[in-house]
Amino acid sequence: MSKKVLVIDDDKDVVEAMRIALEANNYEVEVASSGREGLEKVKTFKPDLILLDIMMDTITDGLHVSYAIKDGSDPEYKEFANVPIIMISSIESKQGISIDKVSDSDFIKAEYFLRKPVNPDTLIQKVKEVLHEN
Amino acid sequence: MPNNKVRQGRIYTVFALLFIELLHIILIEKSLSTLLALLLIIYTIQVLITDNFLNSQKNRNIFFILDTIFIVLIAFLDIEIISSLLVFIIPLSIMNATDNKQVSATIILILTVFIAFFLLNLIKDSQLLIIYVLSVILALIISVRSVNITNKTIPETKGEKINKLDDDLNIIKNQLNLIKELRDLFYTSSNIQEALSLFFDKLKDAFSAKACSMRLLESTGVLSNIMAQSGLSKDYVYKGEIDLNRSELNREVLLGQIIQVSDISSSPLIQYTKELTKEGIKSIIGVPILAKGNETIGILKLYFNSPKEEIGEDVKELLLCISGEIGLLIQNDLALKKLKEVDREKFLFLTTTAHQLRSPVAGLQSLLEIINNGYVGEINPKQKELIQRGIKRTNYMLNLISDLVSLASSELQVKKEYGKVSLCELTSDIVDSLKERVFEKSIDFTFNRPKKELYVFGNEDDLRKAIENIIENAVKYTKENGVVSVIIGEKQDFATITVSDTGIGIPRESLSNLFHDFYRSPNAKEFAEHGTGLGLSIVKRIIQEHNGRIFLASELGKGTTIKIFLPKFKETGLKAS
Repeated sequence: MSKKVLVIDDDKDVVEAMRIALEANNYEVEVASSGREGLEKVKTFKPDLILLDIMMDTITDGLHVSYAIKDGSDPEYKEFANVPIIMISSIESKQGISIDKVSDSDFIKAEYFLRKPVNPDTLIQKVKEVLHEN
Repeated sequence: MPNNKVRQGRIYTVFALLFIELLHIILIEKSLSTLLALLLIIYTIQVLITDNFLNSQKNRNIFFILDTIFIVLIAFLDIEIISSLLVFIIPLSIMNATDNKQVSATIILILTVFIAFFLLNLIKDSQLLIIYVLSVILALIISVRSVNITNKTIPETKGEKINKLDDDLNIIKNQLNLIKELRDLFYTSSNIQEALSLFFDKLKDAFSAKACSMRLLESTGVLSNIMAQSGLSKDYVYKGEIDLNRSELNREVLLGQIIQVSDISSSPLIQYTKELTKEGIKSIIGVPILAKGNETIGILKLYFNSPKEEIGEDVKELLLCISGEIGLLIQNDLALKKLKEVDREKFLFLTTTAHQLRSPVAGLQSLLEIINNGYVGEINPKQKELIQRGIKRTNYMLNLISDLVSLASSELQVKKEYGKVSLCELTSDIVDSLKERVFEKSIDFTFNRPKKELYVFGNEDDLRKAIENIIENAVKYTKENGVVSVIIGEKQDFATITVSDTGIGIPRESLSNLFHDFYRSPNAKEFAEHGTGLGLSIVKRIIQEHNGRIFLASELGKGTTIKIFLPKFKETGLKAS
């Protein structure tokens, strides 16, 4: 059975590119274009992996999504607390937010980080690595 | 240390007690030898008082212990001796006491011992007991009163005068030191309220005040709650707002004058008389906090637990000097807060702008890469070449945006946190991240670092950016099989990083432009098509912000050496200006 990947990103072109690459590698893909929609789809789609953009409706939209899912205090998302999240964003340390040091921040809560734009091959490699499919 | 007035009062007490004892001896014992012994005791006590013997806490403690031992010994040895020696003990105990509470405690203790002895039938003569009880009660009354004597002074001996002058000098020295300490505190503390509270602890002590507080005048014309304080109870701090219509003291001070209320109980200037009395405060000095242009921006208050004499002009001047310093610091703090706010807005704007600029390019690149990697079908070689050229251009665009944002955010000074940065560890990290490229180009790369970690004072993100840029450049502009070396060292107060390469070098005529925004030397353009020309100008800015220096030596076609000096971290905390 193919693994399910939820892509939460508001950039249609980036989403399209990711969808093509993921589907070509036999992943089932569902898309959400905002943090709120993403949180809804987590419950219905029950993904094995989430690809998450940070800046959507607000600068920190994505961070709220990962916090809601990973924090464990919200009973609605308790069962998804262990779903791995790969954060994909163009935010970088040069702008003062040291997001690449994921482990340093309690708030970010995502396990993995990729810099946007992601080369499709790099993306697939990372997804496989996270889902232990290598 | 009991002051002279108190001591004088106690001498009276001693004499009063001795007089009672004299009566007792003449009327009851009719003994001349006891009388002589008493005269000797009077003399001893006088010597003790005038020799400042009791001035030291240590001596007073010794006396207190001896007194207690005395009482117990006499009680157990021979009751009759009490009649002649107890008189010696009571005055001494009273003299040792430093306030009313101790006086009363001592007398009550002795009284209890007497009554206990009487009840135990140890003192058989009831007449004797009555005299003792009377004498003790009298002692209590006199001594309590005497501690409160404030109006009379007695002539001092030379030793006392010198001591007093010395004390006064110390007080002035402490007060003058305050201004220096105030400045120091603000350089080391980032929280103005905390720093002020710490300072008030010292201010209070230096003026022998009970407490100290400060309020600011708000733009609405009312006084703020107590902003910082020392020595006041929670109840008092939260007692309520100051109504300027009812508090003439505050009103007057806000007009820019120092106002002193020597006795709050009889002053109409005070709004919270009851609360102040409950707090044990007897007098207040209010000092205006003046900002630039002599505008009053707040009130500094000193509270005393005894009525205070009118302060002199010199003290007033000192207080104004201190409050002026506080005013300056508060204004600086406000300005800094405003700057930080502006910086924060700028930062948000930059972050959003960068995101808006990058998004379309990132989208475009994602789509091109999907085609390039063959996800949507085979493409012919010419198509592939063109798409790859497109990807290169989008890459350049993304780097340019990053660099621009980086350059702009490097001008945001305030948000940056400076601290201890491990230079060797940081550089080692950067070297590791470049390994792949070094390997691809078969570059002979050496990295030398001292065994002991070197610490510099700086902002880690910025330093990473600068060092990364320099090492990256060395690798980028060095041909395959070239040599690149990174050496960390130290020279006096500076840590140094030397990056040398056998790369393309920099033409002499380009050297002067090298650190300018967007400049790329012609040979660099020729060698590597892509580069924004912002790298070195970012590096220069960062190094300058860190009070460091950057030196560059280059020979066209042979290579380049860049050496950076960064101030070492000192435990006292060196600030980058």
